[in-house]
Amino acid sequence: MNGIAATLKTCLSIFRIKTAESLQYRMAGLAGATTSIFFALIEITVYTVFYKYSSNQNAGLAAGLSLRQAVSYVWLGQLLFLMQPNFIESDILGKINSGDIGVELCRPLDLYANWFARTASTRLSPLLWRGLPIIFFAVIMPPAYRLELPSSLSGMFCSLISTVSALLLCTSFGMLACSVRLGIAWGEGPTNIIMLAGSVLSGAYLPLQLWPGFLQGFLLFQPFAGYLDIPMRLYLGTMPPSDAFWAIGLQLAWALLFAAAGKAIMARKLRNIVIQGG
Amino acid sequence: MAQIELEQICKTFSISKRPEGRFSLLRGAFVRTRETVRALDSISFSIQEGELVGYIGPNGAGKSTTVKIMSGILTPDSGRCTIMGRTPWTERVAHVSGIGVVFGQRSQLWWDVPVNDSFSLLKDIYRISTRDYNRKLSELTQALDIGSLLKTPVRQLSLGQRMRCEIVAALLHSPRILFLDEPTIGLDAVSKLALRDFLKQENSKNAVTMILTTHDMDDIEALCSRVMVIGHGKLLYNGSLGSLKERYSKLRCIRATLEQYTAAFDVECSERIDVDANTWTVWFDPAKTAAHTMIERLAKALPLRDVIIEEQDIDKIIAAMYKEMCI
Amino acid sequence: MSALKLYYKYIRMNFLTGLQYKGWPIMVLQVLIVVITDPIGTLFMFSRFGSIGPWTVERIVLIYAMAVTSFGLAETFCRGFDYFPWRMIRTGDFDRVLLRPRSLYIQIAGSYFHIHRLSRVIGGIAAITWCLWKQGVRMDATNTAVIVLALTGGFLAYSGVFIMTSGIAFFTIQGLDWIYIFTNASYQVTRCPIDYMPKILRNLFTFFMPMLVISYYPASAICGWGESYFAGLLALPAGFAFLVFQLLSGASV
Repeated sequence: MNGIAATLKTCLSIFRIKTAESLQYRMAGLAGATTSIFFALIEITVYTVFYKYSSNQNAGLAAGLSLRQAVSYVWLGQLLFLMQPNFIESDILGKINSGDIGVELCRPLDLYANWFARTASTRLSPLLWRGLPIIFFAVIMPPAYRLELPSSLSGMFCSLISTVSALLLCTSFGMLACSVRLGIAWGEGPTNIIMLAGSVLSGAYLPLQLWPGFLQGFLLFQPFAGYLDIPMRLYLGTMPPSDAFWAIGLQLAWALLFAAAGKAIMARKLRNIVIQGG
Repeated sequence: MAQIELEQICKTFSISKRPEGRFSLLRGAFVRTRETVRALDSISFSIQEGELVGYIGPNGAGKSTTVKIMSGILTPDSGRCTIMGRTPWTERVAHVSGIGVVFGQRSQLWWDVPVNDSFSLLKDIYRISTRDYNRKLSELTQALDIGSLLKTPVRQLSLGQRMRCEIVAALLHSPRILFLDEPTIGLDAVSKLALRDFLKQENSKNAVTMILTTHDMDDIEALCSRVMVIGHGKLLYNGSLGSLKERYSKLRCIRATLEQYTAAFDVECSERIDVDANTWTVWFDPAKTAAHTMIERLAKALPLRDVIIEEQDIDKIIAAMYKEMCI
Repeated sequence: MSALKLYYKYIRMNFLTGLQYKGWPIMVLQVLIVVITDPIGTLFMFSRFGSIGPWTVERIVLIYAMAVTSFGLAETFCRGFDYFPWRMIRTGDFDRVLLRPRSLYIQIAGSYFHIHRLSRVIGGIAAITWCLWKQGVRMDATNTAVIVLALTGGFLAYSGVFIMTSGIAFFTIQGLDWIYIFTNASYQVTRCPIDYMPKILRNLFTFFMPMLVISYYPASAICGWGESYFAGLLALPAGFAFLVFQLLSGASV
């Protein structure tokens, strides 16, 4: 119990430091937001063109996603995308490779939980300076480009819970990738490839509903839908709140699986370090 | 005219600070106070060709700022600097062709390729003719004994080996001035001594002017005919190491090993006595009492086994000086 | 001439360094996957929605691939400029560059090179070839020349963007991320058919950073979508002009 409290406390102070850091670099945050907004506007234009002028205009609605919903998907997608693990946590990797890990091992904390908290806080903090301007911009746009309100109150609530689960999922997968990276002596290539695949399958490139029909079943059950697509469906109402229970359960199940695998691999690696004497 | 002349060089940096107190985090996002720091405050000195000058001062005193200005990397706010008749920051290319710089903490060699490849790229960068290059390289290779390392990638070299290669890299184009920024940092005793010998030799043989910044006072003692001390951006001392010592370490000490432990008691003319197990350290002022008189007095009073007379440790002198100058 | 020789030497050195690193084939594969997955959304959209009037998937991918290939070329040979603010200034390696009696441009351009950057070029050229074949465009001497000149112009234009990045970095490296609008994000614009592209984007990427001049106009000229060969040949001068403009403003820094 004491351990959990200590970890939570560490988590909070790390979040504080990271937030202070991102406030320091607020210009970078705003510049990043500009890029995200630029991206979003291009995507929205492209969707609009397809929904209005393509030879098969109703294909979107047939797939269950209206243009308005697609626009909202783009905006929130830019936001949730910031949580995704797109690169290895250099912080943790550096510590293990340089042997600074010894210092951490001396602290009375569960190493994996501590790092998990740290990584999660790192993922959360850019949402502040980069995410808030995006959302602000998205709601003041003219109607055709605007981020719409959630479909229902219960949908909003489920979407929030699902977003927290998404954070856990993103973090646990990032940590798993990091553990795998530890076992590869010659570089980040392979782990970068898996993380890229995760990003593509999350719906960040294209809402999963608009992917080819025969893939739909697979797309919904693969782990990366939980990054972005599931919270988004709940927000837009393309998935009813009554389905939220199993959808969020699926997210958490994947997160637990990744966390268990990551912890096991890391523990083995750390044991080797200790045996070698650092 | 001297080879290097600095006149009233000033440089300020501005750093931003977060406000303190409650809600500092939030306020810091919107309000930030800028603070200017005077890195160099009217620094003037001149150095003649062939001199070997030590440049010392505590961390953050402005040493590397001065070196950066002299090597043309930084432009000062005001003041004049002439090196070999040129202003470093306005005539960068011409200026840097004539100088060499060694950073103890940073490498100018390409990490993953053999040392030789790095040298041959430097040959092209500095447009060294093949004849001069071959001559200088064989001369340096011999003097620093790196012949066997030329085919090894830099990342496989030990620190001592790498530092010798760095020195070669900095001297390949036969610069007239060599800046050395903590060249002996992290080196073992043997490598340190070898490096010092080489620098001395290069200085006397080719009359290369050398400016050495370091925290290792033994480097200064072994190499430099002159020291400059900087603190808070001001030049505090400029002269020989000998007179610096005279000024800040009037006292000598006798380290006496005794047959058995003896509690301290006052000995005539001693300034201070420290006792550690069966060793006495007795401080005295050589201007008032001769060393042999002190030893006689001690021999009468104590069961002496061994006696050593020491000058005060150079590091302690410098620490005392920094303290006195409030830096 | 000696400057070019020095640049070549730098690139050779970095190339050898890269090969020392055992993971380079995987890095090549990784960039190739990036190149393939990047337009995946567009491809799926076309397969679901069909064409947009005359704008088929081959047309859009052709324009996109022209821009990506140009970007890839610039990235391969001038990435040093783009890395400069983030890597060189922060690590202090820039001091070392200043200490050497050669042009800063050459030293920075040559400071970074890695074989895996070429994946983007190879992927791009493969896509261009496929699109031209699908549309039945005959690759005679004129058309080939237009493509080659367009890619050269594109290479110059994107090199100009990288130089612009380092020029700005001299003043501040804080908040430089918006520059992505002109680098990695710029060619995303080509996913939108030109008739429906907002005026402001079209003007920005024609008259300031000539991204459309080096992609859309040459493609349109050789495929016969309505632009003249004259407009298609503007790519090289436009790219060159943009580069010179950036070099001049960089030199005044």
